[in-house]
Amino acid sequence: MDILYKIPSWFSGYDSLFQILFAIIALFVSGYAYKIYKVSKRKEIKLFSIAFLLISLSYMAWPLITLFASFPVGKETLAIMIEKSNIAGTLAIIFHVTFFLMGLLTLVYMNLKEKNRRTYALLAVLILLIAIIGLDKTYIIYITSSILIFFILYHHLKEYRQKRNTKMLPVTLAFGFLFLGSLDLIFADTQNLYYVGGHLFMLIAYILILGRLIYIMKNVKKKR
Amino acid sequence: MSRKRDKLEVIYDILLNIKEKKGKANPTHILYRSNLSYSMLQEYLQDLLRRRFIKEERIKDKKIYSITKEGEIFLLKYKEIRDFVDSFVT
Repeated sequence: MDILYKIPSWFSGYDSLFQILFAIIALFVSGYAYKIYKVSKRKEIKLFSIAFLLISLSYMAWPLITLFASFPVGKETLAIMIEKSNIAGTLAIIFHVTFFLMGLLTLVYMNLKEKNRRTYALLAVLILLIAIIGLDKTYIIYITSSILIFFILYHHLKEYRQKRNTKMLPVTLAFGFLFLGSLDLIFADTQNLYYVGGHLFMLIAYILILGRLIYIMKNVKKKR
Repeated sequence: MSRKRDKLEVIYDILLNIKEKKGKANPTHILYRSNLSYSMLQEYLQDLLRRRFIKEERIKDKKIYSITKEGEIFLLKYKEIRDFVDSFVT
C-alpha cells in the first residue's frame, strides 16, 4: 500500500471543489480551442484542444480518488492510498494519471518541430508504462508530469524571449505555476501542506488561463 | 527592416488580396501582392486549397483562385485566431 498524498482534514472537500473548477476551465479552453480550430484548420490548435480535453477528464476523475481511496491517518490528516483490492479507487487513480499525462504529452508533442504519428505513439506507450509503474512508486508520476510541464514552460519562455509578445505572458506564467504545483505534489506524500500548496499554485495557473481567454472573447465582442 | 511574417499572417495576406480583387485573382496578382517567392506561393496555395479556403478554376487555360466561404470566415475571425494562437499555441 503506497500513499499518493496526504490531505489536511480541513482541506478535504475544498480540494474536490478546486478539481471540479480546474476541470470546467480546462473543458472551456478545449471547447474554445476547437471552435478556433474549425475556423483556422490549424493542426496545432486541434492538438491543443485534445490536450485540454484530456486534462479536463483527468481532473474530473480526481474527486473520485478522494471519494474512494482516502483514509484517515491520525487526527488532522487524510491519506490517499493505493490499495490494489480497492478497485474503484485504483481505477480512478489510473484514469486520472493516464489522462493527465496524456494531456501533457499532447501539449509537448504540439510544440515539437517534427510531428508524426509514430513519435506520438512511442511517447504515449512510454507515458502509459510510467503511469502503470507509478502506481507502486507514485512520486514517479509527479516527477514525470513535472518534466513534461517543464518542457512546455521552457518552450513558452523561449518563444517569449524571441518574440517579446506580451500576449504570451499570462499563459507562460500559468505553466510556471502548474510546474510549481506539480513539484509540490511530488512531496505531498510526506507533508499534507504540500497538497494544499499544489492546489493553490494550480488555481493561480487556471485563473491566469481563464483570464486570458475571457480577455480574447471580450476583444472579439468589442470589435463587433 | 520589416519583421518576418508568420504562416498565419501570410495566409491572411493572400486571402485578403484575393478578396480585394473581387474574390478572384490569378497567381501573378497574388504573387505580386503577397511578397513571396514563386515556390513559397505554390506551397501556400496548395495549403489553402487543402484547407478549402480557396478554389482553383481554369478560365481560358489560366488558373484563377477564388476565395470560398471558409476563407471569408477565416478573414472575419482572423483577429480572434491571432489572439488565441499568440496567447496559447505560440
